[in-house]
Amino acid sequence: MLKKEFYDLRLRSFVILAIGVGLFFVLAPFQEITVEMLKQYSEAQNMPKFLEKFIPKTFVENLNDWNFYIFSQWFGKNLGQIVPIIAIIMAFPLFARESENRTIEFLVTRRSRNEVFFSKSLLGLSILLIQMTIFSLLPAVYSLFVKESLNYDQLWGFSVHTLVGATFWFTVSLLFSVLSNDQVKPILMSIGLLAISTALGVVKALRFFNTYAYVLGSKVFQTGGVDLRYTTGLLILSTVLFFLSYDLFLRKEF
Amino acid sequence: MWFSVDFSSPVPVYKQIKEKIKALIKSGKLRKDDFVPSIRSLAQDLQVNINTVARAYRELMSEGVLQPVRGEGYVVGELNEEDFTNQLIEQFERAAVDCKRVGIDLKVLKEKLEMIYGRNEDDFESRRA
Amino acid sequence: MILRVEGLKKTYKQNRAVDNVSFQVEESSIFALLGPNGAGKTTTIKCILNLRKADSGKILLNGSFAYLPETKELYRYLTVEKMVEVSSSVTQNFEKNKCIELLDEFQIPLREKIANLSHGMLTQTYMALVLSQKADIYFMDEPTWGLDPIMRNRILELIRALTYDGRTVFYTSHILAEVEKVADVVAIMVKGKIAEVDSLDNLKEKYVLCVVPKGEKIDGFHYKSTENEDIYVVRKESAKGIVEPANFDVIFESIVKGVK
Repeated sequence: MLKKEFYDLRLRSFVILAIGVGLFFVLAPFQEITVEMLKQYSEAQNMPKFLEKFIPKTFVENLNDWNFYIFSQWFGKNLGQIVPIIAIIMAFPLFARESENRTIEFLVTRRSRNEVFFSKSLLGLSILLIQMTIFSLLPAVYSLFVKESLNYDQLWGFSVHTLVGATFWFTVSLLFSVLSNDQVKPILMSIGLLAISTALGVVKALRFFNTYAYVLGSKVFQTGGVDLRYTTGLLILSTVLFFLSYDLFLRKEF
Repeated sequence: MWFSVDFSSPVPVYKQIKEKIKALIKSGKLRKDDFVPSIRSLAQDLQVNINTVARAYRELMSEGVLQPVRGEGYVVGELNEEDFTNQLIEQFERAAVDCKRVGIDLKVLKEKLEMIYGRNEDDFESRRA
Repeated sequence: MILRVEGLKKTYKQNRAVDNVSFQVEESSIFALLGPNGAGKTTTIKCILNLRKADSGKILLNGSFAYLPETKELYRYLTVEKMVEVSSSVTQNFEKNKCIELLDEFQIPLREKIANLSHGMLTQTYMALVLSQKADIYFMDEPTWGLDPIMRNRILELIRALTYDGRTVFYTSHILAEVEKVADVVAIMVKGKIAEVDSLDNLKEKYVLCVVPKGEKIDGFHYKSTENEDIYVVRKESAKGIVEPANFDVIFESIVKGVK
């Protein structure tokens, strides 16, 4: 059964891999150019006051530091922004597509529901984690090639946040995928939840709802290490969501 | 061996098979100790269910029309006299019912019967001619 | 006995889709669940196969099964060839060579994408996949729907051939003429209930048509009425009036009409 699942996933997996690697290479080699460009903007005499907030002078200075550049632009922007979305895209069709096309009956009458659920979910999750690992290791490998030094402690922190953040949103999307009988609902609900939770985070008391802050690694910047509490929380939630999906799939009627 | 069966007839197919086999025996096309096809091959040829042929054979065996031969199949046995006559009597009954329904008088039928049973074969032949 | 269903019940909102259904299926037989559309046949099969959970009742299935569903959907983005590959890797006891042979006989182009197959060809492809699976009992939900008459007969032949090897077939249909050709046992299902279940042979011998003067009381199923007469399908023992043999389709129609 894994063979078929892998075949189904291959397009998604390779496109995401290609996009991720591509995004890295539009970023990594262009540190100098970026800094130059931003310097010009920030040194422009007639810069409107509000823009100053977005491009503070110190920020531009910091970008000269390779570590800062990679961590703020890769993990903190290019990669970070798309991590939850990649996770959602990997998960949402796993069950919803087959339910929509009524092909799930084909599988479920030939293999046990256990096998169907775990094959799909674990393969999807594994590939997601491999993708995220590759994306997290890219800066390290690239740094070796261009002979820049990278702070591995911080890299570890950002990587953990990326992987755990991806896992969490995978399990959210997985749950919606199991619940729905068409493909539109799970993707809308997952993205909707992503948007709402991020927006709720604006309220000081509900700050923890904003998973983006976690994925973009603001805590890692501040403390230089992994945010253990939030990480553990997300992992527990992910496990709960995963087994909830499992239970719902076992009981689902076709 | 092949003959047609009518699936939409009110007569069950297994019965039709029994009748057809008996007819083949009566007409001499199947003789005593001839082999009849195996259940499976007859089912395949007639395009009917195995259970159908199996039931037909089972009943024909209990009537003595077919005999099992160990390891080889089924052969034609005796066409049971009693069964044969019962059938003819049933046919007669059906014809009588039809006559009654149409309104033919019992006297007419009685006359006919007396004619048939009372006279010689020769007379009958000459009257027919 | 390869399948026994006892007191099966399944209700959707207000609708009693399966209402206290009980029957038994013997090995090497062809059991037909016959009834009008919406009678609950598909729901019954799905409950037996655990695709849906019955509200109550017992299901005893003694053997491996193969399933041809009512909505015959396969992976549309795969070619027929690839679908056979997938089937081979996912299905237990799948005979790939037999499948290719059947597809060849049905004239299904192997390189064609499933999405481009006509409805009839899709049914035949799915049927080939199911027939190539070695199982003890084959569940088929409307197996010949959408097929031309010649193909239909071929499928009935193939279904019969399954019993030659001792396998069992459980199939649902609303086409009476087919069931007449191929069923050993028939269960007539109407509005969620089993109105009658017996071997086809017994059903033909059990019931007769009775013509009685209009208004006369008789214990049976009403078939039709003319100006002066009522015509009923009645058990042989309770027959009266003018008695005629009853065709299976007459028996079926009357029993179906009789279910409230």
